[in-house]
Amino acid sequence: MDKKFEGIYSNGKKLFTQNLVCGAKVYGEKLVVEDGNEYREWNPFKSKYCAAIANGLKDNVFEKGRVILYLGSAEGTTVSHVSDLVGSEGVIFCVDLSEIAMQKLNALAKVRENIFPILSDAQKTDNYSEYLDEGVDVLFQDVSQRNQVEIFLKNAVFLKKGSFGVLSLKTKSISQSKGKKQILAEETAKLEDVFTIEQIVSLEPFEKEHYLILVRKK
Amino acid sequence: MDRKRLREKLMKKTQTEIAENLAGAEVHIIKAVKLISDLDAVSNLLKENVIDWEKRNPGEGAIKMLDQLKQNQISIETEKQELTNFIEKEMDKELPVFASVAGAVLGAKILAQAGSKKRLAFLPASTVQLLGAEKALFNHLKKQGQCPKHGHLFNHPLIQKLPKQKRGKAARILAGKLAIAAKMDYFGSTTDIDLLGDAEKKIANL
Repeated sequence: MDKKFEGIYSNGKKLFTQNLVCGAKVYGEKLVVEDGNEYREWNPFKSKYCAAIANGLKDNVFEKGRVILYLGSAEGTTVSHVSDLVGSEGVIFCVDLSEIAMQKLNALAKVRENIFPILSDAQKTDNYSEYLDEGVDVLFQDVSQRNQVEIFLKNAVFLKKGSFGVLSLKTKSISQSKGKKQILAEETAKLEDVFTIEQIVSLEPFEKEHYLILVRKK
Repeated sequence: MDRKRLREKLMKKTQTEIAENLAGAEVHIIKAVKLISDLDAVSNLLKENVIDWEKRNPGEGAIKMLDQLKQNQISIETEKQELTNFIEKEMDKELPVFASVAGAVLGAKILAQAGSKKRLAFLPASTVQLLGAEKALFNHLKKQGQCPKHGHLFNHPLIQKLPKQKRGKAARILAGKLAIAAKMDYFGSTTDIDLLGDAEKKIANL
């Protein structure tokens, strides 16, 4: 295994994270043991962040011990890999409004102690602001709503200055008639007051018409 | 609050909220819309009684009873209106997308027929199309009579206005959108799609 970033490994063909809970699979992924370490295969077709890494994301924002605010955690597929990356000292506040998905995430939280589940609409920041007093090190968002960018900006208040934000932009959710490049330009422009744009990565061929936008809070 | 306690508190809170939300708040909508149907039946019975009794030259004592009957009938109408208001509010909370396409009361009737929000979400569009026409449907399946083309949907404004020949196709189009709407409401999606507008356009092109 080669180290691609701290915590993210590659065997030349696939990407992996080191398993925080050895022996346990989360969603049926492949487990590989090498030199006494156990790795979980990371599927870029299932995880947008993994797709971005595969497509040349320049930095891994999920470092050990970091505090993450993850909007749109769903059933926890990507969250489980973030959990591997931030380790037992890290904290992932997971926000999702689907009860069905949150049931699965709550079950995952029982096994992984760095997962903090919150059932809420990400637009209703008052629901969870009390837990984020100390600010978070990373704001990650993957929700397919028309006002994705507005939600991201609303939650930016929790992000520490100078820290990374990651926005998965689904252009089809915003407009079905405008071109993806136009939508990307328009939505990215909305971020420039609060953030500096560090990098934009297209997620093709893993996701169509999706971009991952890496930003830093000013 | 230290992390461990915060985490346990959050897990417990999430668990409770999930249980509450999934406990079927829509059961109240179903009760309310069924009650409206029952009240309708009662109201009609009272009206008929009043009309019939009045024809038979009631004396002083009987007129008092008639007045009371009329009062009751009016309060039932008021109650029906309040139930309708309640249904509109609750449908907007529980099934906002579905209500925006079907209308609150009609949507509630379809929901009641399906039994629950979850059952409604998992129904194929063809079933949604025929909810309310069970008598005709099973009659047809027993080899008697034509297959019904619409159930409760028949009363939807988009379908009512159409000539007979177009109603079946319109019902199918609308049912398709309703099936999507039910799934959006159950799984909590708030993607901005104009399902009613799409249906209107397609129906206009029939």
